[in-house]
Amino acid sequence: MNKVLEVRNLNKNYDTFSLKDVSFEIPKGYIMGFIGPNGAGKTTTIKCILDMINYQSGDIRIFGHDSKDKEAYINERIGVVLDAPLYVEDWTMSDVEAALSPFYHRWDSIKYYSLLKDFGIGKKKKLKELSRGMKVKLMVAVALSHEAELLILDEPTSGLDPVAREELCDLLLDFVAEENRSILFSTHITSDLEKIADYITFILGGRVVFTGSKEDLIEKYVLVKGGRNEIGDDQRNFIIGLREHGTGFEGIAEAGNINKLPKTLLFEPVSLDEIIIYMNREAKSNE
Amino acid sequence: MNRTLSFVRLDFITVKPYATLKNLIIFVAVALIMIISSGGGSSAIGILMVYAVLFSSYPFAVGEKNGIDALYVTLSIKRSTVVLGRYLFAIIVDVCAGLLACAFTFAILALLRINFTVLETFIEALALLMILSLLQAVQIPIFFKLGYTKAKFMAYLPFLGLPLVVISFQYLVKDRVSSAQLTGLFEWIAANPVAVVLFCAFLWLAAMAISCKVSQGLYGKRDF
Repeated sequence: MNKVLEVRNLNKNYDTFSLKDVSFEIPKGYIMGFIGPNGAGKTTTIKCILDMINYQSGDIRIFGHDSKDKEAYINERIGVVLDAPLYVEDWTMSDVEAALSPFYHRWDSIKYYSLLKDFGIGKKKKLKELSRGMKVKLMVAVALSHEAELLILDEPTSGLDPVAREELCDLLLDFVAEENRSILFSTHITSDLEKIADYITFILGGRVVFTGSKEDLIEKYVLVKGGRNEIGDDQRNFIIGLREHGTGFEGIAEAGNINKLPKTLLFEPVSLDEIIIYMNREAKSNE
Repeated sequence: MNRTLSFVRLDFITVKPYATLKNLIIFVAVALIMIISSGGGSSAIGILMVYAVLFSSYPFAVGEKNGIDALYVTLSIKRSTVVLGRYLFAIIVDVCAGLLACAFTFAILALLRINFTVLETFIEALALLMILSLLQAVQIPIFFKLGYTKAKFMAYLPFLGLPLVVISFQYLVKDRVSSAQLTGLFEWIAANPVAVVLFCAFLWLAAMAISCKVSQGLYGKRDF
């Protein structure tokens, strides 16, 4: 079993939004970045994976088990880090342990308090007294204390300052350094993923538009800039998310289409952020 | 079963921050005021047990505020376990509050040198426990279906509706049943206490089982 998570043809319909045939997989031992603009379907997909919401069709397998197989207690092997903890605001750190530990066979109390100490979180502190960064660290401490093999993070870095984000990224790298540990990291702050992700799944409008290695995604597109009169109408069709301004235009193009564009244009490597921005713009212009 | 008990414990930890000394003082003060104003223990026990029913809905309120239903999923707690555990929690709170209310009331009555019969008061408390938990059997599925905030108004309607049901029942009985028939019924009850207790226990268990099953169906469809 080389895949820790396999999502196949996942469909979930709301009145105003749908997940359409979402499919991707995470190989064991790697970090998968899950990217897309706000409202693209990242959180909905994660909630389906964790069985927090009912979905219409699709197959989700975690560690080879059907995610709906409650007898397998799959979630015991998953650490969940969300933008805010799902604990009661008035709980102290001891309450958190007392509440959660009976549900994890592999709960390590010593490790939990040792991690809290490392993170500078006092045992008697209440959850509501912790900063956002501390709350994220608490969730990581819980995940590490029950020997999670798969971490699922949903926008954990939004609202964190660069120092706290850097610390979290270091923690995640330490986590995957141990064999057989994997991460699904959903975020719209892609600079974090540029540093640590091995694979990327890019979701837009409820549909997966790319899933594969980070390098493949970045090499698949190039940033194109040029003067307004440098491209004809046919060539504009190769530009994704075309944005025209007073002196020229910019957008991204598939690397395979470069030879169909004038050589006078400026071609630059593209970042994950730019891919999201231009793909999103293209999708909106096609609506 | 272990996971159900662990869940009940989790519910107690959830409401622990609200089980404060201040609440205990209010608990005692209310009992004292009721006893002094009524000259007996029944009303004090009644009001304290209603207070317990309100307290047993706290996991819904606190949980909703903190998104705790999603936490249960991450802890691999089956939805059926959540429902069963929540009913157990409510019953435990009701029973403990009933016992505590009786103990407080007996102590205060003794201190104030007011006469009381222990057995009679216990029977009253037990009857009240059954009535209140039957009302909870109507209330809890509404919480599971809608969540605390949306359900708050509807969930307390059964408590407001109870006096209406009692008055309507009295009105209907007045014209259709003679006082001799009623006396006969009460005499039969007094002569067959075991049968009455068994019948009431059966009714209570059936109502709880149906309520629990309905809650499981409703909670199973919820998205978090």
